[in-house]
Amino acid sequence: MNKKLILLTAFLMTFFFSEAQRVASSPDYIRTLTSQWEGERFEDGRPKVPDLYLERLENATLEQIWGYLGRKGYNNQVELDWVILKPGETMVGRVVTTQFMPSRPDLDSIVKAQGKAEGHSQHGGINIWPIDMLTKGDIYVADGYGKVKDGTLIGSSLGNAIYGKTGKGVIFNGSVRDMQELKATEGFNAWVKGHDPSYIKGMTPTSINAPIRIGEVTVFPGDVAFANDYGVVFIPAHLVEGLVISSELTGLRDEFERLLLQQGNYPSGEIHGEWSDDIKNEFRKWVSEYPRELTVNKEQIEAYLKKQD
Amino acid sequence: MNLRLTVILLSLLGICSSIGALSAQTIPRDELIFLTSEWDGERFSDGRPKISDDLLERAKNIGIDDAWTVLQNEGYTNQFDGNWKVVQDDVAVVGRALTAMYMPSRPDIQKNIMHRGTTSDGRKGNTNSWPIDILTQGDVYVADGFGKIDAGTLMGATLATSIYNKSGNGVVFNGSARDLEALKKMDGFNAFVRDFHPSFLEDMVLMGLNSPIRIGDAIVLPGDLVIAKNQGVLFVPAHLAQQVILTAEFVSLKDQFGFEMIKTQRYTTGEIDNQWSNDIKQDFLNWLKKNPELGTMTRTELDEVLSKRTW
Repeated sequence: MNKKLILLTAFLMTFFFSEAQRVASSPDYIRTLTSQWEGERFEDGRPKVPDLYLERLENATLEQIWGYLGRKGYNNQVELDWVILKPGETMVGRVVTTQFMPSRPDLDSIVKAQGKAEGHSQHGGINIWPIDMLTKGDIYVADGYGKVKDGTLIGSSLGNAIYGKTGKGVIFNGSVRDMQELKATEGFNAWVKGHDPSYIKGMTPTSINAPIRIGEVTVFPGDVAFANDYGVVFIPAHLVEGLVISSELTGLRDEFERLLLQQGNYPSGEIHGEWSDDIKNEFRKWVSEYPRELTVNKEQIEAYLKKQD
Repeated sequence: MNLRLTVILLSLLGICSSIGALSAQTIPRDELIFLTSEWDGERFSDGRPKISDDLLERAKNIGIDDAWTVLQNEGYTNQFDGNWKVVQDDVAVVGRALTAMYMPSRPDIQKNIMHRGTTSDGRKGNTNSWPIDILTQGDVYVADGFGKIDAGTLMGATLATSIYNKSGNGVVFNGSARDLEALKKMDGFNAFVRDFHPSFLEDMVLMGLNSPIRIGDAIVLPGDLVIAKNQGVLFVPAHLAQQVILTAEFVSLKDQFGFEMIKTQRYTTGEIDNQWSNDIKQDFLNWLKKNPELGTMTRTELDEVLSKRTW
């Protein structure tokens, strides 16, 4: 019993903590975390969800994404209650994660030495290490454990650096400074828990691209983040393609139903309920003349209509 | 047994090779030693610092404020957290931290973790019993349940009984517990939690065992000395435990002397509750000589311990 237990424990611990000595996760570790993703990956191991899907997702709603993830058994992917730098915008991108912890001298010295060995910059603060690693289309997601005063993970300089590298912004369970200047950085946006004029103090980044917790959500590197006025949802990379197709179909159906309701040619019960062949044919015709390019193809539309039977 | 072990080893090998360099990189013991490298004393077989039983006993009698001050002086400013609910007032929990980190579950990782746990061991039950299986006497089970209350109950009476049996200690959870009425009947057991709730644990997965965790404002490493009292919980890094205890013991002597001086009006409160003058230091040493059962101290030792703030 005891031997078995020790073995099991040793093994589990190997799985969980084999990265403990690293600050930034190794590509192998990230691949293991995201093993259900079969597509292209970045050099750092993160899933590279195609740009096309990111663009398409910008038209989705929080409810569509939430509904799809819920049906797949992912019930803890949405976080609410944000301070948004520029409300009214939607931001979609691939996640780079960083975990901050309250500093303690013994651990700090290990993080510093290890970060140096991994080749992270020795100029400026250690909070810029994750920013150095960002690429186009990334969103910098950090857990600053909700600390606001003395918990400002970036100010305007780092904000501009992030925008320059990613074309996107940040999502922090923490705070920023320089809200005014950041607001003037066109294209950049931030979902944060607060803002404060103070500098970051007493915090250490203990991991980069490891799983982190943002409120109610466990976030992995390479997840796709969707953020708008109503909340932030983190989508596991391997579910994005299905989601894009599904939410496009749902969106088309909603739009088409509204059109039919306005025209008043059918009783509303028929429009909301199971579609008759007549309505299905009208839908096929309407989709084929749709003014915008669609991700879904004919077969996917037919499969969708069949499922409604 | 041997056959079963072989089978387990083989399956472990299979899994290890499938995750490639992941497991080849390091072994857990090394990692624990690496994280706690300032500790040069005895360690458990898993690498966790083993503060001596003698120090644990002495730690039960020191003041949490005095210990906090020592840490503050040493630059460890993030080691205390308050705002707790407890099972019993005035039952301190003191021991060596065994840490666990829970996160909101997501099926992709939960599946992997459960699969591994159940196939290599035939283990049943949720991941929240796994840390309990490795507790030893003198440990304190410290878990970050991210403050979740409803469906965040990391133990009920059954697991609590197992914890108390194995560790002889209570727990510290940034989360909740159930069965408060039954817990109250466990003599000597205490739990520092955010709240109690009748619900079952749901939608949480163990993502870290003996990894660094955050408990509110504090950061905790495995092997830290946990001092949990009514006022709150202090996590003392293992390598500082001895210094903290010695200093706190001195401070309690110093307080005893100070109270006497104030009562007899030899010095004012302001003089005692400040950096001591030479006269006070000399009086203290004389007072110690008159009370040899309290210990001995030279002037150099006194200067050394008074060189940092102790009031």
